[in-house]
Amino acid sequence: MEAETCPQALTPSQSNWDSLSVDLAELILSLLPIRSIVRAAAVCKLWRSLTSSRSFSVRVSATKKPWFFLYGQNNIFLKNNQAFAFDPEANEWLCLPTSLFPSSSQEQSFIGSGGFFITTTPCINARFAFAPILTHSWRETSPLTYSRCNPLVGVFVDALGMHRFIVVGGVRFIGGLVDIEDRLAVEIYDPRLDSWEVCPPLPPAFRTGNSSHSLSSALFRGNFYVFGIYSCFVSAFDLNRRCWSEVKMIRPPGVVVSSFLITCRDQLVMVGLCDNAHGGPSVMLWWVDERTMEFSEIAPMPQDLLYRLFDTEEDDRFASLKCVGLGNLIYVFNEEHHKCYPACVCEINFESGKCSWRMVPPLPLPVNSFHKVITFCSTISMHDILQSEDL
Amino acid sequence: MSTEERRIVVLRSSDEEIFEVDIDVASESQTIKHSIEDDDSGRVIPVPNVDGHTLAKVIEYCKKHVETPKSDDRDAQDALRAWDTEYMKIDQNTLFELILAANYLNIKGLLDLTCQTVADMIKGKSPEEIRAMFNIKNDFTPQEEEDIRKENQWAFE
Repeated sequence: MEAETCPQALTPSQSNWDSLSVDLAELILSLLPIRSIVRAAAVCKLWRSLTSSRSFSVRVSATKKPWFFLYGQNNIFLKNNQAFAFDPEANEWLCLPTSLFPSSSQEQSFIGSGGFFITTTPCINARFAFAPILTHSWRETSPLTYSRCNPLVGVFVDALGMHRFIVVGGVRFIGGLVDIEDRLAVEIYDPRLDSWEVCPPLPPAFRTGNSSHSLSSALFRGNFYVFGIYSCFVSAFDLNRRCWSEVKMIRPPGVVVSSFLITCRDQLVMVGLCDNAHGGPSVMLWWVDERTMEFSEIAPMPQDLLYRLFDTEEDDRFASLKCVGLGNLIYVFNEEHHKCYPACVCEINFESGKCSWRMVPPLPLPVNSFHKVITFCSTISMHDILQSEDL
Repeated sequence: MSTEERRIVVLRSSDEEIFEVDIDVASESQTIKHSIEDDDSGRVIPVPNVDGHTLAKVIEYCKKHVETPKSDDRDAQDALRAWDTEYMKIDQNTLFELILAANYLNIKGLLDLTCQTVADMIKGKSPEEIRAMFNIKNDFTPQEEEDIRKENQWAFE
């Protein structure tokens, strides 16, 4: 497994690796984890042109697992913000340099989805800016119609193949106080017109918790699902018809403290923290049928792993449990600092329905203390990362 | 032609080495398989792009994978994987020739295995280390190299 033990690494090459056909070179490079691909692109011009081609990017996107991003925000000392990315294939964390992110301000909300980093700044002109993940190409859109803090943001591809942003919920401050009366409209961005289309707001059932703090979202089969982490309400926004479905509730038996909705390839999965009377807290996974909202058990998270994420069995400790996921990976982590944000990952095998859990390696130190930890999973576009106007 | 005769296929490498191979083993190569289907008169099948040393190694792989029954058994799969790992303990030149052979002979399993082995060699290495390992010339200017590193700093740290 380790390259160091490969006998080939020790013998100098007499072979003419340069003469390898483009197909073979592409095949080999596509097997590398993303970070190694970027390094390989710096080896020589041929490898750079191979890896930055659109066809290579498409091929790689189909096979690479989405990354897990953790963005820590310090509201007092902005320079203490940090960003990390976890590549599940290489099983390693990367420190992302702050130069990748626009200069932040206290009001700025940061999120990532569908291959993009996104910031919304609610101040006067409701700024919305985005960049393909891991690139420096930030662009600002025309302002949102309604400024807001901590909205949910999704990215979908419309019928014409264009990336569209959808902004849902969020909180509006009026005179320093949270405005709970106004239900903020859903807005969908049209990149061709650089304008935001205003759509019906979140249903009233979500009134008490309409920011990303208490909502989990999942983009799935032409719908943007919004799910109350504590309320268990769910509603789907139809991206074509621009309307919300009837609000339903997904609450499996067993007292569920918090739960999250995740898109796992072609299945919706719910992850819930259950408070069992004698057993102590546990985390369970369920398949969710997107039409009926009926759920069926997949498997519980191994108890020993859960207790590795949290110090004690006190109930309030587990309140800092959060969950995100994409593809066949689900991350369960602790957003409290004192253990440096430990996380576990579950890999779902869709054929067998089996889950295999493991601890995510610890974050590379030093890890600052954050007021807010933002996490999300997203795929990465090789083509965007290796694009360069200079070379 | 009797059933007895049909079971063996004769392959000739680029350097005129002769290999008598069971037809099932030879058919692991899609290229050879189609050759046999087109003309099963029992003549020698030339393999012009592959030398004897490499062809012997290819045949070793095909033989093992044909002989091993396909099984869902975890232990059996692990055993075959362990065999593949041992099999891959070869020098870089043989590895290179094996990739070309697996590609030309269209043997998917061997192509995947050899390419993955090369990928494992590249994983985690710096561009300089990769160039040294594969004897690849650096055709970037120092300025270009610096720009590349700056573009994706996170990958080079």
